[in-house]
Amino acid sequence: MNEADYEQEVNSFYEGLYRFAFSLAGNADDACELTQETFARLLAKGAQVRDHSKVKAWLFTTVYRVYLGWKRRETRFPHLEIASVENELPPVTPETVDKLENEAVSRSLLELDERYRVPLALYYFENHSYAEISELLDVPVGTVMSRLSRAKELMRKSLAAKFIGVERKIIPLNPEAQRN
Amino acid sequence: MNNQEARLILQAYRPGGEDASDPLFAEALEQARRDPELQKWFAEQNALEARLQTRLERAIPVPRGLKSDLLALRKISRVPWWFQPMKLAAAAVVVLLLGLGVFFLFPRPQTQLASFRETMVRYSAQERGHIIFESHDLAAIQQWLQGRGIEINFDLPTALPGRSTQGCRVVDWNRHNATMLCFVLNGEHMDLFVMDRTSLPDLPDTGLPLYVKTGGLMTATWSKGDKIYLLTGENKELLQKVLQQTSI
Repeated sequence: MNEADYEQEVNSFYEGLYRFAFSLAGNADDACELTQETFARLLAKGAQVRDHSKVKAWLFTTVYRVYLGWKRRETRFPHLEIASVENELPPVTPETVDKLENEAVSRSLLELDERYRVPLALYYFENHSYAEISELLDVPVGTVMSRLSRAKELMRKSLAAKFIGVERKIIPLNPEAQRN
Repeated sequence: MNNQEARLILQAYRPGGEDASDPLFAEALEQARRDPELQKWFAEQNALEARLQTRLERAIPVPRGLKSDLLALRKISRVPWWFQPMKLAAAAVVVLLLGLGVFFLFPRPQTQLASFRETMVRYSAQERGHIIFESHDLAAIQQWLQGRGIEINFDLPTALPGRSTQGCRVVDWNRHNATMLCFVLNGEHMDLFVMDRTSLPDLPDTGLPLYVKTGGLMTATWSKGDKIYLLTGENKELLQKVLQQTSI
Protein backbone atom coordinates (compact mmCIF):
# COMPACT_ATOMS: atom_id res chain seq x y z
CA MET A 1 0.00 0.00 0.00
CA ASN A 2 1.52 3.30 -1.01
CA GLU A 3 1.59 6.35 1.25
CA ALA A 4 -1.20 8.17 -0.56
CA ASP A 5 -3.55 5.19 -0.28
CA TYR A 6 -2.69 4.78 3.38
CA GLU A 7 -3.40 8.45 4.09
CA GLN A 8 -6.73 8.12 2.34
CA GLU A 9 -7.68 5.12 4.49
CA VAL A 10 -6.67 6.96 7.65
CA ASN A 11 -8.76 9.97 6.66
CA SER A 12 -11.75 7.80 5.82
CA PHE A 13 -11.87 5.47 8.79
CA TYR A 14 -9.73 6.50 11.72
CA GLU A 15 -12.49 8.28 13.62
CA GLY A 16 -15.01 5.47 13.32
CA LEU A 17 -12.36 2.90 14.06
CA TYR A 18 -11.22 4.77 17.16
CA ARG A 19 -14.78 5.05 18.48
CA PHE A 20 -15.36 1.37 17.86
CA ALA A 21 -12.08 0.61 19.63
CA PHE A 22 -13.21 2.83 22.51
CA SER A 23 -16.46 0.90 22.75
CA LEU A 24 -14.43 -2.29 23.02
CA ALA A 25 -11.73 -1.12 25.38
CA GLY A 26 -13.68 1.38 27.43
CA ASN A 27 -10.91 3.96 27.68
CA ALA A 28 -9.07 6.35 25.41
CA ASP A 29 -5.56 4.99 25.91
CA ASP A 30 -6.42 1.45 24.94
CA ALA A 31 -8.61 2.69 22.11
CA CYS A 32 -5.67 4.66 20.69
CA GLU A 33 -3.43 1.65 21.05
CA LEU A 34 -5.95 -0.59 19.31
CA THR A 35 -6.37 1.92 16.49
CA GLN A 36 -2.64 2.35 16.02
CA GLU A 37 -2.02 -1.38 16.10
CA THR A 38 -4.68 -1.87 13.45
CA PHE A 39 -3.31 0.78 11.11
CA ALA A 40 0.22 -0.52 11.66
CA ARG A 41 -1.03 -3.91 10.48
CA LEU A 42 -2.62 -2.26 7.49
CA LEU A 43 0.76 -0.79 6.58
CA ALA A 44 2.48 -4.10 7.03
CA LYS A 45 -0.11 -6.19 5.24
CA GLY A 46 -1.67 -3.59 3.01
CA ALA A 47 -0.72 -5.55 -0.09
CA GLN A 48 -3.25 -8.19 0.98
CA VAL A 49 -6.05 -5.61 0.91
CA ARG A 50 -5.80 -4.33 -2.64
CA ASP A 51 -9.52 -3.71 -3.04
CA HIS A 52 -10.23 -0.31 -1.49
CA SER A 53 -13.86 -1.29 -0.86
CA LYS A 54 -12.68 -4.03 1.52
CA VAL A 55 -10.41 -1.87 3.62
CA LYS A 56 -13.18 -0.77 5.95
CA ALA A 57 -14.25 -4.34 6.74
CA TRP A 58 -10.60 -5.36 7.09
CA LEU A 59 -9.88 -2.55 9.57
CA PHE A 60 -12.88 -3.23 11.78
CA THR A 61 -12.34 -6.98 11.72
CA THR A 62 -8.69 -6.49 12.59
CA VAL A 63 -9.31 -4.11 15.47
CA TYR A 64 -11.83 -6.55 16.89
CA ARG A 65 -9.39 -9.45 16.57
CA VAL A 66 -6.62 -7.46 18.19
CA TYR A 67 -8.97 -6.68 21.05
CA LEU A 68 -9.94 -10.35 21.40
CA GLY A 69 -6.24 -11.19 21.47
CA TRP A 70 -5.76 -8.78 24.35
CA LYS A 71 -8.66 -10.33 26.20
CA ARG A 72 -7.16 -13.79 25.88
CA ARG A 73 -3.96 -12.61 27.46
CA GLU A 74 -5.59 -10.92 30.38
CA THR A 75 -8.99 -10.01 31.63
CA ARG A 76 -8.68 -6.30 31.08
CA PHE A 77 -12.30 -5.48 30.83
CA PRO A 78 -14.50 -7.61 33.08
CA HIS A 79 -18.00 -8.07 31.81
CA LEU A 80 -20.64 -6.12 33.59
CA GLU A 81 -24.31 -6.07 33.07
CA ILE A 82 -26.87 -3.69 34.36
CA ALA A 83 -29.07 -5.41 36.85
CA SER A 84 -32.70 -5.04 36.12
CA VAL A 85 -34.54 -2.67 38.37
CA GLU A 86 -37.82 -2.79 36.67
CA ASN A 87 -39.07 0.62 37.58
CA GLU A 88 -41.18 2.39 35.13
CA LEU A 89 -38.67 4.27 33.06
CA PRO A 90 -39.62 7.17 30.82
CA PRO A 91 -39.38 6.63 27.07
CA VAL A 92 -36.15 7.82 25.53
CA THR A 93 -36.61 10.53 22.95
CA PRO A 94 -34.13 12.65 20.98
CA GLU A 95 -34.73 15.41 23.52
CA THR A 96 -33.85 13.06 26.37
CA VAL A 97 -30.63 12.18 24.62
CA ASP A 98 -29.79 15.84 24.12
CA LYS A 99 -30.15 16.58 27.82
CA LEU A 100 -27.74 13.86 28.92
CA GLU A 101 -24.08 14.51 29.56
CA ASN A 102 -21.58 13.07 27.10
CA GLU A 103 -20.19 10.82 29.78
CA ALA A 104 -23.62 9.36 30.52
CA VAL A 105 -24.23 8.66 26.83
CA SER A 106 -20.92 6.89 26.34
CA ARG A 107 -21.33 4.96 29.58
CA SER A 108 -24.70 3.68 28.49
CA LEU A 109 -22.94 2.02 25.59
CA LEU A 110 -19.87 0.88 27.49
CA GLU A 111 -21.90 -0.75 30.24
CA LEU A 112 -23.53 -3.14 27.83
CA ASP A 113 -22.37 -6.68 27.74
CA GLU A 114 -19.91 -7.22 24.91
CA ARG A 115 -22.32 -9.43 22.96
CA TYR A 116 -24.58 -6.42 22.54
CA ARG A 117 -22.04 -3.63 22.70
CA VAL A 118 -19.92 -4.78 19.76
CA PRO A 119 -22.65 -5.03 17.11
CA LEU A 120 -24.27 -1.84 18.36
CA ALA A 121 -20.98 0.07 18.19
CA LEU A 122 -20.44 -1.20 14.65
CA TYR A 123 -23.97 -0.08 13.80
CA TYR A 124 -23.41 3.41 15.17
CA PHE A 125 -19.79 3.98 14.11
CA GLU A 126 -19.08 3.96 10.41
CA ASN A 127 -22.66 2.93 9.78
CA HIS A 128 -22.14 -0.79 9.32
CA SER A 129 -25.05 -2.73 7.85
CA TYR A 130 -26.40 -5.85 9.51
CA ALA A 131 -24.75 -7.91 6.72
CA GLU A 132 -21.36 -6.27 7.33
CA ILE A 133 -21.70 -6.83 11.08
CA SER A 134 -22.61 -10.45 10.45
CA GLU A 135 -19.54 -10.98 8.30
CA LEU A 136 -17.27 -9.04 10.60
CA LEU A 137 -18.29 -10.89 13.74
CA ASP A 138 -18.82 -14.16 11.92
CA VAL A 139 -22.31 -14.65 13.35
CA PRO A 140 -25.55 -15.34 11.47
CA VAL A 141 -27.67 -12.43 10.26
CA GLY A 142 -30.52 -13.48 12.58
CA THR A 143 -28.21 -13.27 15.56
CA VAL A 144 -27.10 -9.78 14.53
CA MET A 145 -30.74 -8.70 14.28
CA SER A 146 -31.66 -10.01 17.70
CA ARG A 147 -28.51 -8.65 19.34
CA LEU A 148 -29.01 -5.21 17.82
CA SER A 149 -32.59 -5.20 19.00
CA ARG A 150 -31.65 -6.28 22.50
CA ALA A 151 -28.70 -3.89 22.60
CA LYS A 152 -30.88 -0.93 21.72
CA GLU A 153 -33.41 -1.88 24.31
CA LEU A 154 -30.76 -2.19 27.03
CA MET A 155 -29.09 1.04 26.05
CA ARG A 156 -32.34 2.96 26.12
CA LYS A 157 -33.13 1.63 29.56
CA SER A 158 -29.72 2.74 30.70
CA LEU A 159 -30.17 6.19 29.14
CA ALA A 160 -33.58 6.55 30.74
CA ALA A 161 -32.22 5.54 34.12
CA LYS A 162 -29.44 8.05 33.85
CA PHE A 163 -31.89 10.71 32.75
CA ILE A 164 -34.04 10.34 35.83
CA GLY A 165 -30.98 9.95 38.03
CA VAL A 166 -31.50 6.34 38.91
CA GLU A 167 -28.06 4.86 39.05
CA ARG A 168 -28.62 1.22 38.55
CA LYS A 169 -26.64 -1.32 40.40
CA ILE A 170 -23.93 -2.89 38.30
CA ILE A 171 -23.09 -6.50 38.92
CA PRO A 172 -20.70 -8.83 37.14
CA LEU A 173 -22.34 -10.96 34.52
CA ASN A 174 -22.30 -14.53 35.72
CA PRO A 175 -20.45 -17.07 33.54
CA GLU A 176 -23.65 -19.00 32.77
CA ALA A 177 -25.25 -15.88 31.37
CA GLN A 178 -22.17 -15.15 29.23
CA ARG A 179 -22.50 -18.48 27.48
CA ASN A 180 -26.08 -17.82 26.42
CA MET B 1 -45.03 -10.89 8.93
CA ASN B 2 -46.50 -9.49 12.12
CA ASN B 3 -45.51 -6.20 13.73
CA GLN B 4 -43.20 -7.85 16.24
CA GLU B 5 -41.20 -9.50 13.47
CA ALA B 6 -41.20 -6.27 11.50
CA ARG B 7 -39.87 -4.36 14.52
CA LEU B 8 -37.04 -6.84 15.00
CA ILE B 9 -35.94 -6.38 11.41
CA LEU B 10 -36.40 -2.63 11.39
CA GLN B 11 -34.17 -2.30 14.46
CA ALA B 12 -31.27 -3.08 12.12
CA TYR B 13 -32.35 -0.46 9.61
CA ARG B 14 -29.78 2.34 9.41
CA PRO B 15 -31.30 5.75 10.01
CA GLY B 16 -29.54 7.29 7.02
CA GLY B 17 -31.68 5.28 4.62
CA GLU B 18 -28.80 3.21 3.17
CA ASP B 19 -30.87 0.05 3.54
CA ALA B 20 -33.92 1.30 1.65
CA SER B 21 -33.24 -0.95 -1.34
CA ASP B 22 -32.17 -3.99 0.66
CA PRO B 23 -34.68 -6.80 -0.03
CA LEU B 24 -34.44 -7.96 3.59
CA PHE B 25 -36.17 -4.80 4.75
CA ALA B 26 -38.68 -4.60 1.90
CA GLU B 27 -41.46 -6.56 3.59
CA ALA B 28 -40.97 -4.89 6.98
CA LEU B 29 -40.98 -1.44 5.36
CA GLU B 30 -44.13 -2.35 3.49
CA GLN B 31 -45.69 -3.48 6.75
CA ALA B 32 -44.77 -0.13 8.32
CA ARG B 33 -46.39 1.72 5.43
CA ARG B 34 -49.59 -0.23 5.93
CA ASP B 35 -49.73 -0.02 9.72
CA PRO B 36 -49.93 3.56 11.15
CA GLU B 37 -48.85 2.46 14.60
CA LEU B 38 -45.79 0.65 13.25
CA GLN B 39 -45.07 3.59 10.97
CA LYS B 40 -45.13 5.98 13.93
CA TRP B 41 -42.86 3.70 15.93
CA PHE B 42 -40.46 3.40 12.98
CA ALA B 43 -40.30 7.18 12.46
CA GLU B 44 -39.53 7.69 16.17
CA GLN B 45 -36.91 4.97 16.00
CA ASN B 46 -35.16 6.57 13.06
CA ALA B 47 -35.14 9.98 14.70
CA LEU B 48 -33.81 8.57 17.95
CA GLU B 49 -31.15 6.46 16.26
CA ALA B 50 -29.92 9.41 14.21
CA ARG B 51 -29.69 11.50 17.37
CA LEU B 52 -27.98 8.75 19.32
CA GLN B 53 -25.43 8.27 16.56
CA THR B 54 -24.58 11.97 16.67
CA ARG B 55 -24.47 12.07 20.46
CA LEU B 56 -22.26 9.02 20.70
CA GLU B 57 -19.81 10.54 18.24
CA ARG B 58 -19.75 13.66 20.37
CA ALA B 59 -19.51 11.63 23.58
CA ILE B 60 -16.47 9.73 22.32
CA PRO B 61 -14.20 12.44 20.95
CA VAL B 62 -11.27 11.32 18.89
CA PRO B 63 -7.97 12.45 20.44
CA ARG B 64 -6.52 15.39 18.58
CA GLY B 65 -3.12 13.86 17.92
CA LEU B 66 -4.33 10.45 16.81
CA LYS B 67 -4.46 11.20 13.11
CA SER B 68 -0.93 12.57 12.99
CA ASP B 69 0.27 9.58 15.03
CA LEU B 70 -1.33 7.23 12.52
CA LEU B 71 0.19 9.08 9.58
CA ALA B 72 3.56 9.03 11.31
CA LEU B 73 3.37 5.23 11.34
CA ARG B 74 4.29 5.38 7.66
CA LYS B 75 7.77 6.59 8.52
CA ILE B 76 8.22 4.08 11.32
CA SER B 77 7.07 1.16 9.24
CA ARG B 78 9.23 1.86 6.22
CA VAL B 79 11.04 -1.43 6.12
CA PRO B 80 14.36 -1.54 4.31
CA TRP B 81 13.82 -3.46 1.12
CA TRP B 82 16.24 -6.16 2.21
CA PHE B 83 13.94 -6.91 5.16
CA GLN B 84 11.02 -7.53 2.83
CA PRO B 85 10.91 -11.19 1.85
CA MET B 86 9.38 -10.68 -1.60
CA LYS B 87 11.78 -7.93 -2.56
CA LEU B 88 14.70 -9.82 -1.07
CA ALA B 89 13.76 -12.90 -3.10
CA ALA B 90 13.41 -10.80 -6.26
CA ALA B 91 16.78 -9.20 -5.62
CA ALA B 92 18.33 -12.62 -5.08
CA VAL B 93 16.96 -13.82 -8.41
CA VAL B 94 18.32 -10.74 -10.19
CA VAL B 95 21.72 -11.20 -8.60
CA LEU B 96 21.72 -14.88 -9.50
CA LEU B 97 20.80 -14.16 -13.12
CA LEU B 98 23.41 -11.43 -13.36
CA GLY B 99 25.94 -13.76 -11.81
CA LEU B 100 25.12 -16.51 -14.27
CA GLY B 101 25.25 -14.04 -17.13
CA VAL B 102 28.63 -12.77 -16.08
CA PHE B 103 29.86 -16.30 -15.50
CA PHE B 104 28.85 -17.56 -18.92
CA LEU B 105 29.36 -14.47 -21.02
CA PHE B 106 32.47 -13.07 -19.35
CA PRO B 107 34.46 -15.75 -17.59
CA ARG B 108 35.98 -14.06 -14.61
CA PRO B 109 39.67 -14.95 -15.16
CA GLN B 110 39.57 -13.57 -18.66
CA THR B 111 37.81 -10.43 -17.48
CA GLN B 112 40.41 -9.88 -14.80
CA LEU B 113 43.26 -10.70 -17.10
CA ALA B 114 41.87 -8.49 -19.84
CA SER B 115 41.44 -5.69 -17.34
CA PHE B 116 44.97 -6.14 -16.08
CA ARG B 117 46.30 -6.25 -19.63
CA GLU B 118 44.44 -3.16 -20.76
CA THR B 119 45.50 -1.19 -17.72
CA MET B 120 49.14 -2.12 -18.13
CA VAL B 121 49.08 -1.26 -21.82
CA ARG B 122 47.86 2.20 -20.93
CA TYR B 123 50.80 2.63 -18.57
CA SER B 124 53.08 1.31 -21.25
CA ALA B 125 51.76 3.76 -23.84
CA GLN B 126 51.99 6.67 -21.44
CA GLU B 127 54.77 9.03 -22.50
CA ARG B 128 54.72 11.61 -19.76
CA GLY B 129 55.76 10.16 -16.43
CA HIS B 130 56.34 6.85 -18.10
CA ILE B 131 58.89 5.93 -15.48
CA ILE B 132 59.46 7.44 -12.08
CA PHE B 133 62.91 6.16 -11.30
CA GLU B 134 65.39 6.36 -14.16
CA SER B 135 68.42 4.11 -14.09
CA HIS B 136 70.30 1.62 -16.22
CA ASP B 137 71.50 -0.06 -13.10
CA LEU B 138 69.29 -2.95 -12.20
CA ALA B 139 70.69 -3.06 -8.67
CA ALA B 140 69.76 0.58 -8.13
CA ILE B 141 66.31 -0.12 -9.46
CA GLN B 142 65.94 -3.05 -7.10
CA GLN B 143 67.02 -0.89 -4.21
CA TRP B 144 64.52 1.80 -5.15
CA LEU B 145 61.75 -0.78 -5.30
CA GLN B 146 62.75 -2.31 -1.98
CA GLY B 147 62.55 1.11 -0.46
CA ARG B 148 58.86 1.12 -1.42
CA GLY B 149 58.18 -2.28 0.05
CA ILE B 150 58.18 -4.07 -3.29
CA GLU B 151 59.50 -7.61 -3.33
CA ILE B 152 62.03 -8.09 -6.11
CA ASN B 153 62.14 -11.86 -6.17
CA PHE B 154 61.05 -12.05 -9.78
CA ASP B 155 62.78 -13.62 -12.74
CA LEU B 156 63.62 -11.26 -15.57
CA PRO B 157 63.67 -12.68 -19.07
CA THR B 158 67.26 -13.49 -19.79
CA ALA B 159 67.10 -11.64 -23.08
CA LEU B 160 66.69 -8.38 -21.21
CA PRO B 161 70.18 -7.48 -20.11
CA GLY B 162 70.74 -5.03 -17.31
CA ARG B 163 72.05 -2.29 -19.55
CA SER B 164 68.84 -2.21 -21.53
CA THR B 165 66.92 -1.18 -18.43
CA GLN B 166 65.67 2.41 -18.51
CA GLY B 167 64.00 2.69 -15.17
CA CYS B 168 60.89 1.70 -13.26
CA ARG B 169 57.76 2.75 -11.48
CA VAL B 170 55.07 1.13 -9.39
CA VAL B 171 51.59 1.13 -10.89
CA ASP B 172 48.23 0.16 -9.54
CA TRP B 173 45.76 -2.38 -10.72
CA ASN B 174 42.63 -2.82 -8.64
CA ARG B 175 44.54 -1.81 -5.52
CA HIS B 176 47.31 -4.25 -6.26
CA ASN B 177 50.82 -3.04 -6.85
CA ALA B 178 52.47 -3.99 -10.08
CA THR B 179 56.09 -3.22 -10.80
CA MET B 180 56.83 -1.78 -14.20
CA LEU B 181 60.32 -2.12 -15.66
CA CYS B 182 61.09 -0.25 -18.84
CA PHE B 183 63.57 -1.64 -21.40
CA VAL B 184 64.91 -0.55 -24.73
CA LEU B 185 66.50 -3.42 -26.60
CA ASN B 186 67.97 -2.85 -30.06
CA GLY B 187 65.96 0.33 -30.32
CA GLU B 188 62.73 -1.43 -29.43
CA HIS B 189 60.77 -0.24 -26.44
CA MET B 190 59.32 -2.85 -24.10
CA ASP B 191 57.79 -2.76 -20.64
CA LEU B 192 57.65 -5.64 -18.23
CA PHE B 193 54.99 -5.66 -15.52
CA VAL B 194 55.27 -7.99 -12.54
CA MET B 195 52.54 -8.58 -10.02
CA ASP B 196 51.88 -11.12 -7.29
CA ARG B 197 50.08 -14.17 -8.61
CA THR B 198 47.58 -13.91 -5.79
CA SER B 199 46.29 -10.65 -7.23
CA LEU B 200 44.98 -12.57 -10.22
CA PRO B 201 44.07 -15.93 -8.69
CA ASP B 202 41.96 -17.24 -11.54
CA LEU B 203 44.57 -16.77 -14.23
CA PRO B 204 44.62 -19.93 -16.36
CA ASP B 205 47.92 -21.71 -15.97
CA THR B 206 48.73 -22.50 -19.61
CA GLY B 207 52.45 -22.86 -19.12
CA LEU B 208 52.97 -20.79 -22.27
CA PRO B 209 52.90 -17.04 -22.86
CA LEU B 210 49.55 -15.79 -23.96
CA TYR B 211 49.84 -13.27 -26.78
CA VAL B 212 47.09 -10.73 -27.13
CA LYS B 213 47.13 -7.41 -28.96
CA THR B 214 45.54 -4.68 -26.90
CA GLY B 215 45.36 -0.94 -27.42
CA GLY B 216 47.81 -0.95 -30.31
CA LEU B 217 50.44 -2.96 -28.45
CA MET B 218 51.23 -6.63 -28.37
CA THR B 219 51.23 -8.27 -24.96
CA ALA B 220 52.57 -11.55 -23.68
CA THR B 221 51.33 -12.81 -20.34
CA TRP B 222 52.61 -15.72 -18.33
CA SER B 223 52.97 -16.81 -14.75
CA LYS B 224 55.90 -18.27 -12.96
CA GLY B 225 56.18 -19.11 -9.30
CA ASP B 226 54.12 -16.67 -7.30
CA LYS B 227 54.31 -13.94 -9.94
CA ILE B 228 52.43 -12.97 -13.03
CA TYR B 229 54.34 -11.29 -15.84
CA LEU B 230 53.13 -9.14 -18.68
CA LEU B 231 55.40 -7.90 -21.41
CA THR B 232 54.38 -5.21 -23.87
CA GLY B 233 56.00 -4.37 -27.17
CA GLU B 234 55.42 -3.23 -30.73
CA ASN B 235 54.86 -6.67 -32.17
CA LYS B 236 54.60 -10.33 -31.43
CA GLU B 237 57.89 -11.27 -33.09
CA LEU B 238 59.80 -8.96 -30.84
CA LEU B 239 58.19 -10.40 -27.74
CA GLN B 240 58.64 -13.96 -28.95
CA LYS B 241 62.30 -13.32 -29.57
CA VAL B 242 62.77 -12.05 -26.04
CA LEU B 243 60.82 -14.86 -24.47
CA GLN B 244 62.41 -17.67 -26.50
CA GLN B 245 65.46 -17.34 -24.42
CA THR B 246 63.54 -17.43 -21.18
CA SER B 247 62.37 -20.56 -19.44
CA ILE B 248 58.78 -20.06 -18.47
